[in-house]
Amino acid sequence: MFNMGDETYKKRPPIISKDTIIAVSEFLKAGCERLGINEVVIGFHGGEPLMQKKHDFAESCEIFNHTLQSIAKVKYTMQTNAMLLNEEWLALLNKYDVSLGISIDGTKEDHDKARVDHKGRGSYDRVAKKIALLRNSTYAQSLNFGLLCVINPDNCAKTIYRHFVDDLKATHIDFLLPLYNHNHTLPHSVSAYTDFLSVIFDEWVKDDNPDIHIRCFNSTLEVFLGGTSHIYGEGRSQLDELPLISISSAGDLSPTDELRATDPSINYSDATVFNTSLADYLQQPIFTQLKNASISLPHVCTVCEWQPVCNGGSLVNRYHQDNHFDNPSIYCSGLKEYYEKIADYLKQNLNHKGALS
Amino acid sequence: MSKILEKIIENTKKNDNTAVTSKHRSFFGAK
Repeated sequence: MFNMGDETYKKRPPIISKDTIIAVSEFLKAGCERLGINEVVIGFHGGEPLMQKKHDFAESCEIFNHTLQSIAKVKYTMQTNAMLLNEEWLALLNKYDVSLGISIDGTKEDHDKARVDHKGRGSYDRVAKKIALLRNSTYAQSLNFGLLCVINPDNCAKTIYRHFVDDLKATHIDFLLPLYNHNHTLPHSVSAYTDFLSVIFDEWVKDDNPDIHIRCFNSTLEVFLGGTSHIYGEGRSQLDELPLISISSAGDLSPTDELRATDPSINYSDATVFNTSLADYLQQPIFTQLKNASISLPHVCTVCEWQPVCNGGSLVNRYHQDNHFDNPSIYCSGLKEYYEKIADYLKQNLNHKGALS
Repeated sequence: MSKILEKIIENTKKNDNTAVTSKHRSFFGAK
């Protein structure tokens, strides 16, 4: 998002304070009680969440656990570039059962093109070393991790998949379509993005290893089979699904932070964990707008054969400054081909009666 | 039937989203 024009982070403290953590925990506790929420997933993002002191991180988890655990199950997740991962961090992440996502852009060549440190050095070698550290640690069995890769059609999809699976021994992977919307001109053709997914799908199917989870494929296949999407704002969701919210290091509230890639103004409010409740915050018009966007689709979607699966695509990819979410995904034409491919795979493999009975 | 599809059908039948630790697109760990 930092590459998509969001500069709100510049106005906030780099590290969240203990007072704000306490306020967040009380905000969540009151919200759970009022709304009957029995599970909370707290994700640590950045910047880079491993930049904080280990003691502060542990203290944050203790505060959340102490405040929330009698009311709701608390799960933690963290998305990191892994550069600062070490044995002490692994022990802490394991202690608090943090689900760890590592951002990586592909092979060394791919990754180093996109991710450099302040001295201009590519970070791939250090990230790969940290992944090996994690895989070989005493916590390898209990502390699972996933790799998160944003699709760049300039890179070779098959090579990246083989690298993640064969070399990095990853078993949980996801590939993300970039957060472009109708205000942008895509730097590549639509099909270049979705062909990337199709190439990986072919490779995954060829492996046919049920222990390799590719979130986007698992999610899409489950939706095809009558389940619900694994990803907020994409595909068919549970009707009573609550929206995701983002809390900044200053305690500011906003809808899920990927929406900052649309128009910063639609996310802005003066609501914070200090001056409002979760129940009241969820009454803000943006949440009605988001809910309506997932229920009332543009006409072109309502007559599309893939609507029951796609549901208009990701909210972010549907955005335009003039009519907000009243558009199909900017990846629409490519997604149709992608869904066709997955439907063909299902047809070929569900050739006996009662597969879902 | 493929092994991956067998597992996905099993998960769909159970409505088992235990593999889903976060629905946020930018958080992807694993369980």
